[in-house]
Amino acid sequence: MRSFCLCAVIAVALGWCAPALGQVVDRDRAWHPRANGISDPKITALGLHPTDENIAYAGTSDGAIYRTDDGGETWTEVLRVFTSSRERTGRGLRRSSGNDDTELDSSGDEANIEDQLEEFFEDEKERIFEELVDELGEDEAEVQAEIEAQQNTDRLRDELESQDSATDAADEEIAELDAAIREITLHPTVPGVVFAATSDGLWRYDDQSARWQHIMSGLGDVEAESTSVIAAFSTPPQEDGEPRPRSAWVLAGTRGGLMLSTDAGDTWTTEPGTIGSAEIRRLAVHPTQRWRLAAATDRGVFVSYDGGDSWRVLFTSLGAGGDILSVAYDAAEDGGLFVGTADGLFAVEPGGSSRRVGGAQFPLPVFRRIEPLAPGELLVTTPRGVWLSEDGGFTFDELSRGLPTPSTVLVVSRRESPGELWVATDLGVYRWLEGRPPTVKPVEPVPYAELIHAAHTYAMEDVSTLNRYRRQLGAKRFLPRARLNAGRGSFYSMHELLTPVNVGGVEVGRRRDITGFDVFTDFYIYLQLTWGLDQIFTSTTHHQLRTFRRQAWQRRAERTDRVIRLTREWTDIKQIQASRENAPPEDRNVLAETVAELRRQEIEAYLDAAVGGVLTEIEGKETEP
Amino acid sequence: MNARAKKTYLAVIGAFACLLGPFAARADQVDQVLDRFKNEPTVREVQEAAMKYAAVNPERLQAQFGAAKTSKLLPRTRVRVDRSFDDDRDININVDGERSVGIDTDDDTDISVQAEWRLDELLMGSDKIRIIRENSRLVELRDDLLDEVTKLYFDRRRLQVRLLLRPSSDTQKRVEDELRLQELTAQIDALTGGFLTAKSRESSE
Repeated sequence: MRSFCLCAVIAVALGWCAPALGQVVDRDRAWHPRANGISDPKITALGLHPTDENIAYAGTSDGAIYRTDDGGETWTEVLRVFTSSRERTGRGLRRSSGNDDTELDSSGDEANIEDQLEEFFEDEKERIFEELVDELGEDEAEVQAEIEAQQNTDRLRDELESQDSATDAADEEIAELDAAIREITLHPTVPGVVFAATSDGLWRYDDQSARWQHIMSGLGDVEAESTSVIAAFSTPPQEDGEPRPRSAWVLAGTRGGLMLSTDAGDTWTTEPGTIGSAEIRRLAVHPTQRWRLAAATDRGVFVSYDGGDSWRVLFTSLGAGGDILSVAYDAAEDGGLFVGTADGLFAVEPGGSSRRVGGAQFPLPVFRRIEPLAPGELLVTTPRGVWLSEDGGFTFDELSRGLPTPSTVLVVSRRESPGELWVATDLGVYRWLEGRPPTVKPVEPVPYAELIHAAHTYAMEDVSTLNRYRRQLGAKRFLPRARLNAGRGSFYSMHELLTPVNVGGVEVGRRRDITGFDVFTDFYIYLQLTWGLDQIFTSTTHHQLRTFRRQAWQRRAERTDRVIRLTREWTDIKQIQASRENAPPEDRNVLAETVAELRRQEIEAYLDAAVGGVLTEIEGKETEP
Repeated sequence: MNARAKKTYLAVIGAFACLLGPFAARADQVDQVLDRFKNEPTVREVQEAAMKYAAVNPERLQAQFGAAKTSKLLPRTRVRVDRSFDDDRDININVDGERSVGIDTDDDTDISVQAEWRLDELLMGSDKIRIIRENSRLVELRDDLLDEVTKLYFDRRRLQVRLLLRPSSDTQKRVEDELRLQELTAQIDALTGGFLTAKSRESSE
């Protein structure tokens, strides 16, 4: 009776708690392809408009940024970041298809381009500071002082640039290595302002001017470190009741430290604090208290409670000390942090204590991005799929069904409607929408059990083989060591007697008489059986086999998991391909489809190699790219 | 690749890229693109070559078990041949003081054969476990090798497709891509004993 009451209390408590935990992801939805118009299938960045659900930006691995205004139905290229040395030196060689009048002239000589740039920068600075004055009502003298400070920074930048052409050349080489768009962030409170982080620095776009700006000023040596990886927006807290500029602070994480801009990206200063020159891998802003920041770096996790003005280290390592890769705030008001490391996922309470979450569920503990959706509800993206937790990270469900590849880069949601998900993958953009993705015909079901069995058999670790070993070991205990001996012995013996010969009492010699012979011949054969009774219960062989079996079962589990994942990925790609078969020609993309087909063939080859060619037999054809 | 062949190759790439234009695809265009590489060995053939080259093909692994079993059917044999010579002499003195000497000369030969079967180890023993573990390691090596060669194969194929469909207008980038292609080919050749190049050349001829 008492236990019944206890259960009832727990049930009621859970009933109350359930709505609080929230389940914002509608499981009846599915991933729908949304990549028409994007030429490079590998999506590396995604950014959603904070208020308009139809507007989104996508960045690709070849350095292009696309924009959609219809919820992903069609995409238009709005920027291509050029990275070759000649183009980059010109700096004017960038284009925006969004608005013709913003396209800078690239045909003039370099001086002409520099003039245009200077003019452009000046206009932009004036516009932003006018906005600041209007918005905040700050004293004009104070603003003027800031402008002068900025001009000083610009002068310093020019001097540094002129002195350090060698660094520039090296920088250009590095920049060429990676053209991918690394991050796209839309300003959370100023709609229409977009920041894009590339290996070539930061780019800024705003709807009002409708143009992209390459903002690099003041990055100095950090610029030489080659990369701006992250942009985040913080709100500085008020100080002594004085209003401070809101929504103008931008943080950029680079491989050489953290940069802070208090003027929406026009000028940058190196964040002094404790972060120093640590490589910034991810920045997280608290969802409601935007002055609370966290940074995942190669030197640990740092936190700031003043919008990025100062930082302190929270911890330098977690778990087994794996690399810290990602960080995000829980969506709860007083929530802690989620930290993704190469050793797993951790939840860090506001007090600083941490616990491992997710366990060994993830096949590859590489967390590319953590996206908090609601209190206790979060999504993580890994090279092996998207995973959803609705219980604060205790358990995770895979949410990548329907994606053509589990290699997901990031998943994003709008804060106002967290259940509305977009995911960037190596094979395009997908959106979590109602209904199943359009499929023409279901692909033939794959006999999973047969493939798994084939994989174990091919690795000589199938159950029957392992059991046979065990049976053989059991029988071995009772089998003797048999020793068969056979032989023949021949013995020959001659007996002689020497007696003295006396003549007249004097010995004159000896007589030798043979008194007899003995000859024996012996044949023998016998069988000797030896039982090692001392080894019936345990022996070295027992121990060796037990160790082997334990390891074999671990390998079997890994192999089973791998075969299932490869099979799922393979069938998913086939399903997507089947669904695209009847798509209109204008919606199709040879490169993307060829890449997808190659990926399917690659997965098929991995799978076929794992199962010893059984897949080919099932399919009845050769794997032939 | 000589200069002429390279020009022809680039011309073909250019023509193909022009034909494909803005990548508006028809259903069979993907097959057309991939058919361009028909003269190269399939991934399965490359995998087989890599396994043979590293001596980790399944037949070889099975052969080890067979050899172990056969060896245990044969007995451990010991042949022993003893030959001994013995020469004993006794001196007897009777009460009269007469002495006689007795001589025994022995010549013994003993031939024995011992055959020992470890019936217990015929089923399971240290040797067999050693082979099982060794095979297990070889299977892991084989898996790694196949993964590696498959990855290289498709990295190379993706690069080929990219060069075909979207050749860079930047000469430096094109050279880098070409070098990367050669690097991948060399890596596959290193894992297969030159199979890829040899087979491709054979098909071309």
